[in-house]
Amino acid sequence: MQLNSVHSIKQKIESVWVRSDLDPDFIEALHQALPIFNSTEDTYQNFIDWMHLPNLCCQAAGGEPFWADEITAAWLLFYIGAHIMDSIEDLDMPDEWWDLQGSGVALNVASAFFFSASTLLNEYYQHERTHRIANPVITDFNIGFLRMCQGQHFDLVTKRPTLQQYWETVGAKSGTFFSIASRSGASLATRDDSRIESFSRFGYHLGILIQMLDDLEDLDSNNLIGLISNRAQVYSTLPFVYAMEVSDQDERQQINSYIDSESFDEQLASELIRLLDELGTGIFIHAEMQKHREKALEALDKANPTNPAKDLLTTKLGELGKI
Amino acid sequence: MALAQVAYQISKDRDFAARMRIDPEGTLAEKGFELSREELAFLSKGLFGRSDDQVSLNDLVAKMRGWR
Repeated sequence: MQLNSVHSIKQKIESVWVRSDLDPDFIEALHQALPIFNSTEDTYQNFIDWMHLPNLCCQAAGGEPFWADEITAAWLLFYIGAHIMDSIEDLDMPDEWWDLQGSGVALNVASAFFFSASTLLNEYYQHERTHRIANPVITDFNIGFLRMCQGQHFDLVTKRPTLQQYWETVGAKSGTFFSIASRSGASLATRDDSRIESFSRFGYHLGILIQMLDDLEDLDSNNLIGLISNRAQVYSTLPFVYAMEVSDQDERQQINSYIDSESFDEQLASELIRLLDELGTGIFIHAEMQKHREKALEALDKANPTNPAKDLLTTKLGELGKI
Repeated sequence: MALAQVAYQISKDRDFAARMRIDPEGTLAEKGFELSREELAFLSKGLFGRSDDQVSLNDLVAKMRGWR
């Protein structure tokens, strides 16, 4: 995607805030929380590419990418809003912008993003070309987010999920989220339900793959030290869910002793990774990543996508999970 | 969750891992594991498609660093 498209997304979001007559100080607070307003493009190129998933799926289904700008802008706002709420609910380390001001300010910004996104989607009612899909797309977003809330609920109340519960939760949260982006973008360009369903399945597997990458990122030594400090969260990430499910009692005790250590440092992080590896965690996660990457590619192929979006989606997907 | 059990067995039992390289289907049947052909193919990519040893967690973490 070209950077002029990023510019267009920014403009769409900004226009909602200006039309709503928001105070410049509040708009500045909203900017702080959105990476596209406060980072240089080259530091988050992968994020920009995936942020344009609705545009890309619209183009791949035969439309013009810009037709999906409102969906992309709304999806981005929902994504960042959900990320903020998730961080607070999981007691993660605060992002820099809300570290000093506290979680109340962050929650309020997240709420503002949800209402901004909702306003953007309502704009599809205003245009003749998009009027027919406005209601189904908005309903799809709303039902999808309800299901994500349900997934988050079970994630929060299940302290030691099994692998089956993990896949159900990840499917309900990340899978649902990326499938909404893919099928809603595609639905602007085609009325063929089987193609839309294929785009939806593509997004579902992409979302699960991306969640696995997030969980792997948590194993990077500094991230792992942070993760271990939040014990409630450790057992919900894939490497630990897997290890706790397959290991014997002694191995589980060993894992628990690392997690319960009062002075968890880089040395212990390295030992814990080695222990997880000895239990086959790398082999398992690699196989699961291959599975979801292949299933996403298969679904994309069935969607009969057109270029240039087809090549970009295939290439970007190929880069994920390849080793 | 057979895939998880097989990954664990491969990492804990050298003999099982070695036999998986030669006769994966027979070895799985002997142990009573049921993997689909698809799952076996995904597993094999991390086991047999590489010149070095099995894929490690450190490899995965390093490779995925900064994917965002």
